[in-house]
Amino acid sequence: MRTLRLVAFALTIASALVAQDPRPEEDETKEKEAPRFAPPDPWIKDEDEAKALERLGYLRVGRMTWGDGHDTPRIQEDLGKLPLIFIETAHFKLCSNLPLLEIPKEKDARKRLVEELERLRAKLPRLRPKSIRELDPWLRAHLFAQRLEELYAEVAGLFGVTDASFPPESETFYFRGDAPARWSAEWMGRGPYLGNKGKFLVLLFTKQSTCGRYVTTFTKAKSDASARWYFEQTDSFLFATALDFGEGAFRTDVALHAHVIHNLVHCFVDSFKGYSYVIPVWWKEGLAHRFRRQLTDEHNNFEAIKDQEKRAFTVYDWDERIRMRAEHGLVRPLAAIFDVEQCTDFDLVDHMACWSRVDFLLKEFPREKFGIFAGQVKGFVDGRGNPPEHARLLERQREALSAAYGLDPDTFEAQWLAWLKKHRRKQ
Amino acid sequence: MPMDFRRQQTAKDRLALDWHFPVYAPDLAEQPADDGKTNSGRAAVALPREKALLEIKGEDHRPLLVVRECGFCKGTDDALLSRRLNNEKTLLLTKWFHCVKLPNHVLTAEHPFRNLFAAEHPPHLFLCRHYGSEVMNLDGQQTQAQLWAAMEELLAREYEGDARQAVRGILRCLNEYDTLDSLEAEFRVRLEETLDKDGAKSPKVRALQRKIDAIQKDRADVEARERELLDLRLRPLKAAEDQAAGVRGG
Repeated sequence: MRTLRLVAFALTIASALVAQDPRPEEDETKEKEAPRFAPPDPWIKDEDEAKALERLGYLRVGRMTWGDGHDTPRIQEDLGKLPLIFIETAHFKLCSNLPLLEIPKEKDARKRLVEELERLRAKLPRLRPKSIRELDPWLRAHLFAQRLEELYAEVAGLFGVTDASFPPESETFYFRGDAPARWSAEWMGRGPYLGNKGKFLVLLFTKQSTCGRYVTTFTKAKSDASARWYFEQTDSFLFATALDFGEGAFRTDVALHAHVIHNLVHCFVDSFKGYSYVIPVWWKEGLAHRFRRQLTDEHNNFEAIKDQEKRAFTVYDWDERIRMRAEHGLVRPLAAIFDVEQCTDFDLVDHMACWSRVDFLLKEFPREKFGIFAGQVKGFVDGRGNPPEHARLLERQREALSAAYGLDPDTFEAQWLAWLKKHRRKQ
Repeated sequence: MPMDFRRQQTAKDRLALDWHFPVYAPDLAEQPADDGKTNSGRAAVALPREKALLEIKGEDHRPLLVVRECGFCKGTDDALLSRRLNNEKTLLLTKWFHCVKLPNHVLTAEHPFRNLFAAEHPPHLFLCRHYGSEVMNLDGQQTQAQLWAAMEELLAREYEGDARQAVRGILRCLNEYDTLDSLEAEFRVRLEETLDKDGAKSPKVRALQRKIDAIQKDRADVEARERELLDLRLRPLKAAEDQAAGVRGG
């Protein structure tokens, strides 16, 4: 069985409010009281908390289990007296340590934010989106909780699945061979969160050092950058980042949002139908770019990119650029990257091409075909959870492309290039 | 091409502080599989100073530079760096240290690394030999000259090469990197635009690529020089101790 490679990569800011809550005495006979250093939520104060949480669509705030061998009190204990807001939604557990942020002055950014806040207002009646001047830490947490669930719904919709498509939490099987017929006939993973038993874990820190400490303590990922990690015992994916990474690249709300989208799409694809093997990266990265570019053309994020491509972070007009390159025959063909699992030697043109190919599939074919394609590439395991030999996996991708779209890689490439040309002529 | 006096990317990368954020959580390796219950695990306990040092230094035998975060610094490196003066020399000197950053709450009684700051008025940062001796405490308000003096003294004991001379040489390398980065960025932008507009067969492409290749060659030369300057050669452990004894006159 191929070793699962767990990808970690990075990105940065900090302010720590130190509250003075006394730490409770430890008592071996009682469950430890969970210290909270975040101030109470001002948006639901004076309300019945249970009703407010229900309206927000949250299962709980504060104390909850988290990844392998640790929970939120343990995180709080190890990271110190930081104001950490923990929220559990339908599909996520979010830890937010984001500081207060002024509403952006730039017109488009402000308009986009106000639209989101209008949607949030249905759950936070005190919110006045048009007159608000700043986002306090709790509001930022609520906003990200909403964003995470909206992104999940979009990706699940694209894959053609709902919560009911996956085994419920009550199921306890681990391997396909142990699953009841309903769940072994077509392997959909072990649990309800796109196939994972555990919810997606998202940590948004301000300081690079805090993120580094969390990652060093609880995972084996590198601590000098944003990290994604898979917890085997809880069968859950984690994404952790800090505003400080990339010399403060994520200090603006839209930059952080873009960064989260890019990484979570990767988590969703990896989780889909269970995390059992690494898949070719071209469409996963292309999909991540697509979702991120739906939010903003700027704030490029890359799974990996060749070292000298520093200018990649300042080039945004991808549709025009990829067309020009394709016209001159300067795009690496799909056949050359179809089976590649890492994009460490991708340059900007390769990334633009990945995005554009996925864009082509989603625009020119019925959307449900993408779910058919993804569904066939993933979940290809035997009774003991083992994927087939690598060559067979790669062959499976070809079969999936053919089953969903009636294409092989060369025909796909030819159609995509023709589509690019057609679009350029229309302009 | 307009002159850009800011540090370019290569120099910025070289000047980045390489912090290590050590943690002590041996219990996590022994945790049973999660059973859905919350689990706040161990009772934290302050380690003896020697053990705390061993935990943070690991297999790294470089001298230590240990900073504890505080509410005033708010995640910056203000305890080490000056807000008013050029910090490049400081940043380069750190290359030969194992730089450790500990959290705000390291001063709480039960933090595993508490005894690294056991003094009545704990320092904001300290430097020491790799095995923890000859501690030089600093309060975060030190002058740059005081900081450099402390760092250079420790480096002279732990390394065979001359850190001060090496820093001068590396600063020259950084200036060369800036020139190369600026030129390369300019040529690459022109190359990309030419490829977009005219394709790969344009003669301009070959000319620009030749220029970029020449820059890469120059860059490789600078990197080789930089590597040599960075290699100050840690003294063998026993020799370092003898040297320190000689310095003390003992």
